[in-house]
Parts: sequence; structure tokens; C-alpha cells
Amino acid sequence: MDAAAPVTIVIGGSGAVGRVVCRTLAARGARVGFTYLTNETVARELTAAIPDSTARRLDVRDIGAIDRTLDEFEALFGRIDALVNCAAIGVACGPPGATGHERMDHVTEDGWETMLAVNTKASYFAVRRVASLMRDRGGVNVVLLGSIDGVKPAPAPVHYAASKAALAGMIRAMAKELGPRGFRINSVAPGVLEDGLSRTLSEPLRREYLKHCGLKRFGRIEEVASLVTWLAVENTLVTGQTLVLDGAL
Amino acid sequence: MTARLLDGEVALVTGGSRGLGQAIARVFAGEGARVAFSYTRDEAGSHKTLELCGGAGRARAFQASVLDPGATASMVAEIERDWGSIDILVNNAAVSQNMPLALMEEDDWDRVMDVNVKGTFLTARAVLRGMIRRRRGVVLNMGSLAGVRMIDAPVHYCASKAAIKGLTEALAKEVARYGIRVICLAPGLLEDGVGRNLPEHRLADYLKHCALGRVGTFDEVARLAAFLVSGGNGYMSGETVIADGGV
Repeated sequence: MDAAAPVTIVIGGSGAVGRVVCRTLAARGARVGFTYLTNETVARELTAAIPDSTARRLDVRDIGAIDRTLDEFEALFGRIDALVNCAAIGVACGPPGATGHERMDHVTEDGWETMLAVNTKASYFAVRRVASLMRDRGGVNVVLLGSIDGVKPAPAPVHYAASKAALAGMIRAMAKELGPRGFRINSVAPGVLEDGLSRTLSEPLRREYLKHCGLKRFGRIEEVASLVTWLAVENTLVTGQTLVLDGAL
Repeated sequence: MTARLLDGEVALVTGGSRGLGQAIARVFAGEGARVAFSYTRDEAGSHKTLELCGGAGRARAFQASVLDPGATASMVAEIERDWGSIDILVNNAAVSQNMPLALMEEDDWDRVMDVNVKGTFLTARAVLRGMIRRRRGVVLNMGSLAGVRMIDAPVHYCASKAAIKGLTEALAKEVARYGIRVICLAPGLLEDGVGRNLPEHRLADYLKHCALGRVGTFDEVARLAAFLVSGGNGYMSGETVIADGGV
């Protein structure tokens, strides 16, 4: 393995988007460490398919575990050149695996906190740890997965939209604070995709989306992975930006 | 080695004899595209661009002002005849002029708005006809930080670049039905770019507010441009991508 190859860490690497991001990063020549929560089978397939890759189980609600996991990756690879966070949930109040559009009336305080913990708080602490591990080395790219629901008006679950919109403010301020040390922090905000969390969208909302989407199709996971990979591996100038991928919605 | 981003594509870049346009032509050619570019006066610069693109087989230069619809039409026809299509259009040609509004003559305003906005309209119109026929294409409009953020820059230049953002959004909606994407790329200050005549204190102020603490290079904006127009970025349209090092 090329020692000069960029080391990229993907949180939530076994999900529908995360697994394609891992493969795309590897195809671009990066070394890949990733985390998974429940999808051990996918994690094992990925480590088998990607040479020199490593998987760690991580529940991003556990900040101590985020720190320990990133420390382990840094010790293993010797550095972290890019951090990508794909871990996210769309539903926070039902049992694990529940789907559907949680309306305001149904969101409990616990549900709100879980949504923000997974989709927002975890990113803050993960970036902070990488910033500390790579303190004086600079040249680090961070890419957080946002959502069109956090950028444009859409009939989205309110707690989900809030958790994703928070990322836009967070990365702008992070770009300012960490920029002088050579960190570039960006977010990719996709519209409705063919797979992943978008699958759970109701049929009327999917039709509504296609009606307003200029390209009249859902986004492909590969198209998200392609931009994420460019920002993680190639980018040198873009920072503090939320890049929208929505086919001209 | 990774596959090149623009293998098999034909690109037209306006204002390709120097600066950012020259870098875009060079990077696109390096990524496998055949590159045609226009220029108005700078013969030496256009030769340099041809050379950077790998010579006449890979690149072609056309002396054509973006404000001359006749010259633009024959340029487009010639490229389509010889190379089969124009898959990528980069509306890059632009001018600026440091001048306070109170001293601005009507001619000053017209020149900046004409080259930057009307030139983009005329070139896009000429190229889109073929793209619509082929149901395929990408238009990349060069915007500017000056068109999306409140900064201390010439009023006509800011207005022209803000217009480019609006034009991008409306055109993206209009031509999406043909599978054509339209993107605006808005850089901050670049080495030797339109900000080169900036007074020293204004540059220092910019660098103070830029998180990365430096101006951008033509090369890094050109590499971003190559990714934005590549097939892998097929779901981005109507978007304005700011590349400013965090101002």
C-alpha cells in the first residue's frame, strides 16, 4: 500500500451512502478506515473488498467511543487526512429500524435529543477529535453529509431538518476556527436519492419531489460519493460550504 | 491511475488566452477533453494556451468576442462540424474595473454588464441549441464571491456576477428537461485575477477574513471546474459553488 496515499476515515461506512463512499475513496487510491453500528455483514464485505481497510464498531451517541475510535485509527494509519461522516438517522422516536415521517406532535423530547445526537452532535465531537489529533499537521478535509431538508424548504420531519440545517452553521464556524490550521470543512446536501434514508419517504412526497426536480429523477448514491470523494481527497480551496446535489430542485 | 474526468468530451471555454480561462483549458485537456477556446486580442496568450493543451490536435483557438453573435455562431458551427458536439461550455470571459460608483460612466457600466452578462447569454444561447438537440451538456458559468457575498468590490462587477448566479438558476430549471446541467462557480480572490489591481490594504483585509489566509490559484479553481462538469457530478445543477478559502 502506498504510504503517501491519503488516509480517509468514514463514520457510518456500512450504510447505503457510506459503503459507496468507502469504495469510491478506495478506488481513488485512498486508504480507508470506517465505522459501522449494526451492519456487521456489510462491514466484513467492505474490509474484504478494500485492501488495507479497517472497520470498527461505533455508536456515535457515545462521545467517548468516538474519541477512542478516532485515536485508534490515527495510531493505526499514522495520520488522518480526511474525515467523512455519513452516519445519520431519519427517524428517532420509533423502535430501531422504524420508518416514516415523524410529525411534530409525535416527536418526544428523547426523540429530539436522539436525532440531534446522531445527526449533529456526533459530527461536532468527531471533527474536534480529528482537529486535536492532526493539530499541527494541517491539510485535512472534513466532509459531513447534510440534506436538502436542511437547506431548502421541503415537507421534511422538523427534527431531522433542524439536525441537518445545524451542520451548515457548524461547518461555516468550524471553517473559520480551523482554517488557519489548514482544515477545510464542507458539507454535501443531497436531495432525494435512489437508496438510503430516502427509501422511507412516502409515495406522495416522492412524486412531489420529482415534480419539482429539474432533472426529473432521484439522485444516485454514486453521485453523492463522487462529490464527497472529491472534497475529501482533491479539494484544497473550498471550505465552509454546503454543496447541494438536487438536480435543480 | 484513476480514469481521467473528461475523456471523450468536447469543451468550449470563453476567454481562454490567459488567467483562469487558460488554466481551465489546460486542466480540461489534461483530463482528456478536446478544448476549444475563444479570445479577443491576445494572440501570444492564445498560442500559449494551445501549447499548454498539448497542441493543435487537442485544442483550437478562435478569435471571437462573446459580444459578436456572428463570430460565436461560426465558432460553434466549426467545432460541432469537426468534433461532433460541444458537451461542456465554460462561460469564463469577463472584465472588471476598480471604480467608485460616483465616478462610473454609463459606458463603464455597459462594458462590464455586456461582457460578463450579455456575453454569457449570447454564448449560452449559441451553444445550447446543439446541446438541446443532443439532449446532453453542461454549462459552467464563472461567477464570483463578489456576486454572492457583501464585499467591497466595484458595483458593476458585483451586479454582473450576481446576475450570473440568477441566470444559472433560471437556466438550470429551463434546460434540465433536456438533461442539461448548469452550474455557477464563484471563486474568491485569485492570484493575478481581476483583483490584481486591488489596493494593498484591501488585499490585506481580504486575507485577514479568509480562513485559509491566502488567495486561490487558477490551477485549484480549474481542477474544481473539471470535477463540477464531469459525468460523476451528474446530479448537481442550479448550484453556486463558492471557492474562497473560507471568507
